[in-house]
Amino acid sequence: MNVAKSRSVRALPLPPVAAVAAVVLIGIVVVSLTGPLWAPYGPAALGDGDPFEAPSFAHLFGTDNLGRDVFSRVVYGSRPVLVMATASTGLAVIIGAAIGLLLAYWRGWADELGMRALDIVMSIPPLILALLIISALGNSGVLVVLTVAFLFAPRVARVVRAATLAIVTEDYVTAAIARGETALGIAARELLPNVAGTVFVEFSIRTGYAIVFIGALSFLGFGAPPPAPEWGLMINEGYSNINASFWPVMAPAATMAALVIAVNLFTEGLARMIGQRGVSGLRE
Amino acid sequence: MSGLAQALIAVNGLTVEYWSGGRWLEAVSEVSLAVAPGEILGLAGESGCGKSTVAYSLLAERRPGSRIVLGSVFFEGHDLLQLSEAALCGVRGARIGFVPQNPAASLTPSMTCGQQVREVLDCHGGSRRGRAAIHELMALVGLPDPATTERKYPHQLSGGQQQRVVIAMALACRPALLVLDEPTTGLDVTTQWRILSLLGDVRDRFGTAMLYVSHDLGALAQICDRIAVMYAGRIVESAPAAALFAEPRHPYSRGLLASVPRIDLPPELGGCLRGMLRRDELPDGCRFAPRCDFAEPSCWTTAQRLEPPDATHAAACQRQRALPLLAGKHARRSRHFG
Amino acid sequence: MARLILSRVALALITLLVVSLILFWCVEWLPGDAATRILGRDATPQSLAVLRQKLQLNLPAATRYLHWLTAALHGDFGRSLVADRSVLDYVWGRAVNTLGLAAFVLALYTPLSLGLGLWTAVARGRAADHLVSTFVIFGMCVPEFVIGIVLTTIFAVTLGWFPPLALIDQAHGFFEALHVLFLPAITLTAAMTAYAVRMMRENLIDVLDSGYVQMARLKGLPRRRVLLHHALPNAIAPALNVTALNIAWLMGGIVVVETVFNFPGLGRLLVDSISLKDVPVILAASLLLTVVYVLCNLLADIASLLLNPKLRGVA
Repeated sequence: MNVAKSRSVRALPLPPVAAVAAVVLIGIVVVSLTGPLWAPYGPAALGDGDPFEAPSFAHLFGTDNLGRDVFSRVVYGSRPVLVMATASTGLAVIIGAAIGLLLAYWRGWADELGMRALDIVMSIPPLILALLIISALGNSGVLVVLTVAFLFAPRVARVVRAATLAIVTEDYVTAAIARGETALGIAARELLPNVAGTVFVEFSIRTGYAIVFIGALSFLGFGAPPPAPEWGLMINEGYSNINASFWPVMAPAATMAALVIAVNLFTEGLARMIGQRGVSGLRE
Repeated sequence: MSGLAQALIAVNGLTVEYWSGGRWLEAVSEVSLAVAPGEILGLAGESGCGKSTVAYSLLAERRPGSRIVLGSVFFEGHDLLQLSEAALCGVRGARIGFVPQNPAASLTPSMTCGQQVREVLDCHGGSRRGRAAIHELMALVGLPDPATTERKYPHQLSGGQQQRVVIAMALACRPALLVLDEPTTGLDVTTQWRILSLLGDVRDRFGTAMLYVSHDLGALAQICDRIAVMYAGRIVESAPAAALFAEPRHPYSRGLLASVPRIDLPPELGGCLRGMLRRDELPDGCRFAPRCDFAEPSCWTTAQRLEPPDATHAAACQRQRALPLLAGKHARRSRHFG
Repeated sequence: MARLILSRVALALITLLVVSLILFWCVEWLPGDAATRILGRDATPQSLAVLRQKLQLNLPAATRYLHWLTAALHGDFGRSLVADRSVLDYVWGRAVNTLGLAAFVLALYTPLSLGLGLWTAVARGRAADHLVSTFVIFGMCVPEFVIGIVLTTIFAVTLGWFPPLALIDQAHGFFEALHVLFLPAITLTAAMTAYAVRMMRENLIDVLDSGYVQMARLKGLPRRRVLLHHALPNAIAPALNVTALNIAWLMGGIVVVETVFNFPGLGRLLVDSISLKDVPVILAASLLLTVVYVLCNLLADIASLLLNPKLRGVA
């Protein structure tokens, strides 16, 4: 008889690609947290240079249409992106994981009802719902965080529920129940360690998607209003003048792309290390 | 080994390694065996001894994560291990049939049973095709009502019926050799007996030779002409079935047989195998030494070969002649304390 | 089987109903008063009151919702508050454009994702696999508006091979339309295909490693037969699921891409109408996009039910 044993974290080294990604990530996080140390100019500093200057030592990424230093703006823009993305994902994961665990634990009709409700909320294309909510309630950063958290939570709940269901029916949980362990004990000792891996990978993936989503929102004009140095907004502003210079567009675009790729590659490596299947979720 | 000159299929010095824990480990070490035409050769041993790997090698199939390092498999004039994929297609299914362990996992869920049998016939040509041939095959393997069964999907059949479908696929082109990897494990005892009888019938009617891999000595006793016992990737004993059961010469074979409960004798104490196969702790000499009740110090360092070579009954144990005496003493001693 | 399908359809309809309620409720919160917006800030209180009466703005929300719903079910979505035309007309014209773009995208996406998925699964671990994997990472991670902008910068601004703006209304004829639509279509295809190739590859690898595919090989069947008859049919069902998810994602991505290329489609209409607070258009456009999403999911669901051999034998 095969009795499935509780999975423990396999001590595999991080694959090289993921390690490089992790370094890039840490680099960007450090730069964003210590912004003023790196950026030679303030984010809204006007008139330091001529508009659409090409990259030079004074302006590493050139200047934009108002003569502002693009490099500084990209550096200052990294903080809101990272903060909002991690905050919204963290919130989504906490709420979603809680819902997922509860639904899997209850099972029965409560679970059915809960799943149907989640399905319905997930039926609305998330970008559309976000646009509606933000235009209804305002452009604040807090609201964006809450909205994104609300949109991502059901997806996290679904994943956590599936992972928990798979475990709750395993033999070692049944054995634990037969041993007379309390529900809380089972949750702590058997469920949590095995679901924790899934939750952690979910958090990592969702952060990547959150960065893209928030970027899209600010690109469409539903993020912070100008002159905020948000990357999406910068891309939008720079796009109309792309004939004059593509640096104001490409610098934030490339940085955003690099950040998301780094997050995804890192998640890949992490997932493989923990023994999960890897990143295959859609950006939704 | 029997009649090398007239062997249908001859395996020589087969060595297979598999990748585990960051290095290559030997799963099968210099195994040589031969199956004569119309003979049923059993391959016995516990889980992990490499017998399945040997079986797959007969079809030149490399399991994922393994590589064939040395050896040859001669069949109808060719070394199968050197053939191209395209050439192998002409041998597999047509001249050598395969019956795997888990029939449910071996049948394609999206195709009906009839389709899966038919494609073997269609693929390898031959005069026997069409629905009549399929029905005949299904009747041959004992499937009830072929007309209905052929339209069913695998999940609609019982385990025993699924295995019969697989056997039908294997026999479709009247191959000269059947390779069976634990075909009745997981089936209930009655079904097992029926399938074994079926296989016996097939051999009697068509003269099909078989390599039957199993850890179940009872099953092997039912149909095998000869049995080779494997341990830790090596063949430790090779004998006609009756001779093996009457007079096992290798300590491992003795242990295996002793662990099969017998209805007519009181339970034997001290004759059973102790411990388990530890692949990471194999000595250079006899691999069974750590678990052997009769091992002497030189056993651990001296490589064992099948002796007498080329005899019908051979065992790879340097103490085989002394064994019956030692075993008697050992049994008396343990009965004393038991 | 029929019962299963019917229950799925019923569920989809209920979902749409609830979604329409949620959308209506969201739109209720939009700041500003419709009447003020139409007549302007200098309008007199009386004219405002008259207009409010006419637009039924003083009725409770629930009643307004029911009115809207009943009218909508008859195909009447009211009139736009900004452009003086019937909403249905307005939305439909844009929807047709978006449909054209979506069709183009699907025509590119389907063979590409199937082909690449199959190829990388079979050529596992070799150079081709790694190359495609790199493209997949880029396609999956880089936001679609970034892809669109990069492609435009290279192919439209620098090389001048394609127009930077997809002004479809000015295109004459089928081929000119394709030329205009190419960059936005490629942008969307890149993102969708990346994900699909990834999924197809994983599913196919699972299937290729399965016991029954190995059995098919050991029966001596030629490689092509094993791939096409034993492997592919069992990997298709998940592929359909993937496509449904992709189309769902498309409903969001198309909004962004249409903005980048200034394409006169449903997505841009939605963004514009939200900025202008044109409530009836917002409701109609977002509902339409949601209907497409729910419909695609439903079709994918039903298709996997039909393809599941375990249910085929059931009466």
